[in-house]
Amino acid sequence: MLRTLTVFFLFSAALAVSCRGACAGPETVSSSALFTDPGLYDGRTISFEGEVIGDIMKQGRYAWININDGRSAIGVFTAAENVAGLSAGGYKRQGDIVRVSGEFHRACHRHGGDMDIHAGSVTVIIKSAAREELICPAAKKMAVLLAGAICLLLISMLYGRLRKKR
Amino acid sequence: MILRPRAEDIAVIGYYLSRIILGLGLTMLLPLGCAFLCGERGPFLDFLITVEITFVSGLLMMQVCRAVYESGKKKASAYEKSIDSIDPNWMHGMIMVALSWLAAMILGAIPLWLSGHWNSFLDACFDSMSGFATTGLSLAQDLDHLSLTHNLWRHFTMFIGGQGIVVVALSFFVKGFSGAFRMYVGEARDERILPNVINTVRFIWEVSFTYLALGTAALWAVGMKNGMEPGRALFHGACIFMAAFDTGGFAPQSQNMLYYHNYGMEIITAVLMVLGAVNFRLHYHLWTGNRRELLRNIEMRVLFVSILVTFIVTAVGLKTGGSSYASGGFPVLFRKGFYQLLSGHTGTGFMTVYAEQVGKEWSDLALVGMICAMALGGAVSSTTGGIKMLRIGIIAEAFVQDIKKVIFPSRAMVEQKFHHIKEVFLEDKTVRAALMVTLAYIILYGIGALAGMLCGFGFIPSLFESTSAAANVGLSCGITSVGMPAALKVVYIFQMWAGRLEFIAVFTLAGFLLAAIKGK
Repeated sequence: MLRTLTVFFLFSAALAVSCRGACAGPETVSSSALFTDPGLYDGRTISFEGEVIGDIMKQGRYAWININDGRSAIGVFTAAENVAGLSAGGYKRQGDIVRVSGEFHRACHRHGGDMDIHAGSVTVIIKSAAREELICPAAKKMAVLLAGAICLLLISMLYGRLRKKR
Repeated sequence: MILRPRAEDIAVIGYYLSRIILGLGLTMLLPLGCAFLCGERGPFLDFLITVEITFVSGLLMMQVCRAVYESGKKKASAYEKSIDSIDPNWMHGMIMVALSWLAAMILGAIPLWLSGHWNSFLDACFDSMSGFATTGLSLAQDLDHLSLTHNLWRHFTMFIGGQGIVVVALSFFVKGFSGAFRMYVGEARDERILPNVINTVRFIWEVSFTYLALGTAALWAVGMKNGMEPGRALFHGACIFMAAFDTGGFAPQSQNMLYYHNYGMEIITAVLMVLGAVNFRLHYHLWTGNRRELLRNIEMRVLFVSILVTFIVTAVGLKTGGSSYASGGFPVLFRKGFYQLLSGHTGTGFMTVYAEQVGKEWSDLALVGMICAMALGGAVSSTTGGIKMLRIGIIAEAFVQDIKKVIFPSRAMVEQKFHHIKEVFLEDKTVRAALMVTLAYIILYGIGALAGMLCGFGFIPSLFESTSAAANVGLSCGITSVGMPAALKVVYIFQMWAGRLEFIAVFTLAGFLLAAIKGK
């Protein structure tokens, strides 16, 4: 009886772990892991998280976006409808933080050998926001001081020339 | 006996250097205007401070040098002319050029450092030298959030450096500058296109601006077709043009050319890279209708053969070395292999693969093919680095001549000639000059490789990165990173500087400093 109960308990535990894995979706992989061992993930469905940067490049029914996970950016090819309403990051704006799920290609044959992800879904995790421009007050003072120095130098040069002429 | 340089020599060098610094200050007004128009307040302040520092240092140096020269003039009657009208000699010209590139590196690094995207001033200097020397290696952090202004400056340094910092300064200060040719030569432009050096400089600008308009328009159109907004496509088009035609290799985004995932973009940049690798003298002949020169010129023939041979080596290396492109068939292998190879051979450094992929997935044979392509470079008097095709052609002709001398009867006169704009008879002094520069480049590549190995990297990756820096290419196999040792960063900066100026100006400066220390 004890043995049957133990087997039943172990079987239930194993089932629970495998179900949890299946419900959580594909494995979230970082760009470091993709660069370290691209062969391991080639052709597999993965999940990748990061900020949409630069441009949303729509080309008919499909679109390219580039997602930066803080270390490197990777190109994501997806249906145009998946990128509708996305905001890309740049100097003045933090782009949407998204999670994409799709097939990873170490060297995509369809796209000339690019390392990319063909994403079936794009989910926004954090919406984009404006980036604050930090301006150092000391920099303003320095700019004024240097402007004064230029004026002084120009005046001294002018004075020198006038003296020479006389 | 080594003679110590006179104070007046230093004054003349400093005076003309100050004019070059002021010229550089004027070029910084472009990013300043960009910051104002784009409403980027932080970058505006960064560039305002830099422009001011540049003008203060330039004006101050001018005043001090003038005063030193005037005081020397009173003591010795040899200095009859005023400093404005003095004709700089060869030594002055060479040292001015060598120092002006160092000054440009330091002043150009200030706005980069102020932006906070570079970890240290050394890193900013690395990128600044990389930009001016049209290398393309970068230590920028979080490039995807860099302002448009700083990005424009990064690419504009390539446009300035590609034509030559002194060429830019000559354009601003044309009047009364008869020593111009000596400075022009110091920037590794040993061929005058037109009899007058100022007209030559004007022609270089004419070519550059015409291609700027055409290239930017083409890249803009492709960018918009690729789904980019018109404004951003124009900005990217202009930046990519400057980096492609000047064989630089910077790109506005961290993924370099891989960012666009676009075949059209790759084709246009490939054409621009080749145009950038062509001798400006050949451009002149093409512009004036002499298209046959393109087929007859020794540089173009050697370039064609060299690209073909190095591509075969690289392709075989990729195919047999288990690279991921091999399974995609020839189209994938060609698109990735040929683009990187062309980028390396022309000294551009655009990448459509990640540096990590090159370091880990490319076989040693593929890397050797790339190293050879990078080491050889493009044409002389172009914007490329490396040994250059004319020198390789001359050395090859000399080999042929020597073999003929062995085969032919001893009384036979063996004369070898080659076609470079006109028919040129091969002379010993020409061969000697070509071999000297080639040897200097090989030593420079070796120094960087040794430094890389001393820092713990393997031989092939060290040689790859060293050749990329010294030949002003910009391709990386992953060594160039923020975390690499500071000493290696300094070595690469030196390589970029010496490689761009083709040694003569650097050796003259070294001799001048030695004379200042040990001279009597």
